[in-house]
Amino acid sequence: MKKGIMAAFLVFLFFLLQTGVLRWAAVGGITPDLLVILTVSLGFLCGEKTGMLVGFACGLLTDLYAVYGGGMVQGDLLGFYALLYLLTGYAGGQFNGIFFPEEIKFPLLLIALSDLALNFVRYVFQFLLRARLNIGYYFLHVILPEAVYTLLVSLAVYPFLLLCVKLAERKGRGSTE
Amino acid sequence: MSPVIRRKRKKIQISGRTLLIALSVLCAALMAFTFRTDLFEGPLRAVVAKTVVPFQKGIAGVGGYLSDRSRELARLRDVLAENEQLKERIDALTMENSQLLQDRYELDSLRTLFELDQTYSDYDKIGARIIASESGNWFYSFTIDKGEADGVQVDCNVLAGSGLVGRVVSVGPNYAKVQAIISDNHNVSATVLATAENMIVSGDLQSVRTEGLIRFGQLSDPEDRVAPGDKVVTSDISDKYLPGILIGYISSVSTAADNLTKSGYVTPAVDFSHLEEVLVVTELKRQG
Repeated sequence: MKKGIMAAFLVFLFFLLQTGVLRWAAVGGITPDLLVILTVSLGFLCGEKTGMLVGFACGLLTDLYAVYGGGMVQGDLLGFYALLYLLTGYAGGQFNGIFFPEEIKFPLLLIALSDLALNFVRYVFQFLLRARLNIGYYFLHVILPEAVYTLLVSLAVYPFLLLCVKLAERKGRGSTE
Repeated sequence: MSPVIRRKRKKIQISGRTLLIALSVLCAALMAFTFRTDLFEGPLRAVVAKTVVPFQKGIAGVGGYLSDRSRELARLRDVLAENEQLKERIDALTMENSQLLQDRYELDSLRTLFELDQTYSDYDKIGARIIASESGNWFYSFTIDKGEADGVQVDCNVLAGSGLVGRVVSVGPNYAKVQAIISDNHNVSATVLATAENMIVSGDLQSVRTEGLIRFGQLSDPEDRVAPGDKVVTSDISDKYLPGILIGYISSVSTAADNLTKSGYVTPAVDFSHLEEVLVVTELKRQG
């Protein structure tokens, strides 16, 4: 229960940071994706179900703010990002319990790879299908910089999320005993 | 009594895979459903307007203040040097201005003769602050803090300074989503003032990222009269944009692959990287 409230609060907080604050932290016009960090981290730390629910919530909020315009994805569409982040959370959850959460290298790698995959799918559906074929350019100037930036930011954010999850778990155990 | 009921509840266990399938199907259904209808948009917008938007407005207020102050400090030195130059320009411009005033007097009288007194300074405008941007780096759209309650409608034109920013694509009670003209999926019907020929200006992620330019195409110019520096404004035949709003200036012109029309790049009049406040024209272009 506590974990659920914490997760909901984190989704809200990270979404506000992503849309409201990060535009001032853009480097060369590129912003990191905090929602991927949150979704993958919570999936990795708490399991696939938490990952999926958090991803679904993050994606749905993103859907509400996105302006769709191209390829297969047009108009006021809900569910596109929800599905993408949902799958990201599920993928993150597959590695729950296999690695030590304190070992930071693996989750960071997972976050960077998820970000690459997510943006590649966005490119395919919203750019490639409108005959923007110059994939090399988009990879080097949008997808890769975002993944690197996200990786750097998650260096600070992942330990914070780890701490949150540990606190919630400790309190949760205390209340049931 | 109560422990029995509780035990029964705990038996409901959903496996991860079931949840995955259920939520995926839900997403697919949502996409299929919202592809044509906007049934969910209303209630969801109301929720967003009550929960997320007030926080975003607060953040935008504080963040805008801080970024303004930091930019002020960083630019102080540049501003001092610029001030000297500008003083010289003022002298030159005052001269020019007095000449232009005479021309304008003549223009005014001619305009009243032709009853053409509607230029775009006459449109009703309201100021709005940008409170959120779209997450991700693929498109340029943002959310402003004015909505239906302030008279903003879908397709309202959005300006900043003297140039065109974009148009409103959807409205909530106290917020509106704006799509910028530099967004990769955006097209505007435009006119080159020098020749009065129409063309299409479209946003392009690649050229915006590398040089800050947007593309144009389908310009008919067989006599090579359009040159870099020419003003580009919204055209009369655009069905979303009011006529005569400045988009930018021609940056380069080349013959298109079809050998009939010209294409090239336009420098936008608006600095999109430092956009904080915009003007929304509450008047819509009259159609039909």
